[in-house]
Amino acid sequence: MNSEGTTTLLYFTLAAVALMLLLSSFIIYFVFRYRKRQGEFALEKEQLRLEFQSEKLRAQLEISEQMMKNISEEIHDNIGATLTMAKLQLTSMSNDNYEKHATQGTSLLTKAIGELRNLSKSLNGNYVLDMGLTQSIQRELNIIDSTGTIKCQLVDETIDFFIPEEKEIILFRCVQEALNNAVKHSEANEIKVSLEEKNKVLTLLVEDNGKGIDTNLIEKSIGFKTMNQRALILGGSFEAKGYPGKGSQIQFLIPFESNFAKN
Amino acid sequence: MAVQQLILRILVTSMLFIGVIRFVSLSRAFKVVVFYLLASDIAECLGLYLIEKQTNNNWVFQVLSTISILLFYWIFKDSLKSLTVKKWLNYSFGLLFILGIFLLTQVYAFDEFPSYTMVLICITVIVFCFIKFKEMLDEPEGTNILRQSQFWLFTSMFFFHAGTFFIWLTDKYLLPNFNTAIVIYWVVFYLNILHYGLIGVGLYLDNKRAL
Repeated sequence: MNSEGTTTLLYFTLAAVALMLLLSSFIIYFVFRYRKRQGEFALEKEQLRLEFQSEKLRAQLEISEQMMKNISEEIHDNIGATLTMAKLQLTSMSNDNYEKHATQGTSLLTKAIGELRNLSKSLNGNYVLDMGLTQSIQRELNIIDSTGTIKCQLVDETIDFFIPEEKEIILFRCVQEALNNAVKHSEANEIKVSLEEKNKVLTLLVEDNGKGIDTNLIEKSIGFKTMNQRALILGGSFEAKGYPGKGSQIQFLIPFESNFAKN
Repeated sequence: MAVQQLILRILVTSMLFIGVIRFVSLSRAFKVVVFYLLASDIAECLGLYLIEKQTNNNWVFQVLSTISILLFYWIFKDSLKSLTVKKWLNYSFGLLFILGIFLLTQVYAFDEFPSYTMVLICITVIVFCFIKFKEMLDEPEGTNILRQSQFWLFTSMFFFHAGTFFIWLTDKYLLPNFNTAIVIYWVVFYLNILHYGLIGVGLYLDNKRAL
């Protein structure tokens, strides 16, 4: 082989070695970088876990508070009123219509007992965990519906949806917040909650036909910020839209595991 | 030279054997790797047999390179997580496959080595290996990186295709003589040993994970 050929081969070999060194350096750098990121990621995960725990506690506290408020309202507005009426009927028994007053008094007492039973059910632990998300939402809607001023509808198209109980509470709290907003501020006469699933993502939509959320309020409101934060904790996203004079839409996109896979 | 080829073939065949035995429990990417090992083993053995018969064997590599496009596509498709990247993977490998078929049917002669297809495969695989590494960095898993089968698989693919691309780039500048052929032969041999060796580590870890 001539000297030109030897030099070329030498260059080739050197270049090949240099390339191998370069590729190896890249891989070594990648491994170190990966380990560093792994540490950072674990820290982020731990922070998120702590945040999740505190949010879970807060949501549970809020649910309890809401429950106490509901109980107080229920006792004052329904059971109290029913018992007063029953007392009135029983007081009037000495008069001529003895049977009529006794029947009405008994029926009022039965009604009061029924309401007390419902109340005791609500008091029995965390009803979200007992009833499940859909049933709990339906219960909230029934309460709103029973006022007679707002017509409520729940459309549940989920088949495979499953999220762990602790996340369920947070999601329910989001729905409760959205419903409270609609009842208090929207001046709507119809509220619709729909649950849909697609590609392992749950779409939870709370719609009303009220005056529409003020878009400037969305960024400032603590309620919306809380809902957004909760959606992020659930690994999803939150979006609120207001259509002046037509209504509002609050949407949660929450990823979930397969119920079938879980089973 | 025959001894080195024998060592390489024993290495690939034993990996293929382990892959076939544990096929069901392997992850999807490594199931495709088993097919890749099978295809390359058949192609290399057939190539060696044709050389023994003093016949041209380049058509074997033409077919192998076209099949490789599909196999690499499945490996990346099962490993990448981002939907956007997967969309680009579909476009890139779709185009690459069409180009591969075009070159195979319209450009190469029957006895021509498919160097252009190889280069296109190398560039595409290197780019997607980088993307995969970036994806791994963005979402690191809890386990040690050196115990992750996919890390070894993509390191292997990255080294092999970068090396092959380098050989293609420099090949035309080397004077065609016996010594050059010897040096290139050894470089390709060690590159293959590294490639299949790293795939073997990945296969071993993937198999261990399944156990």
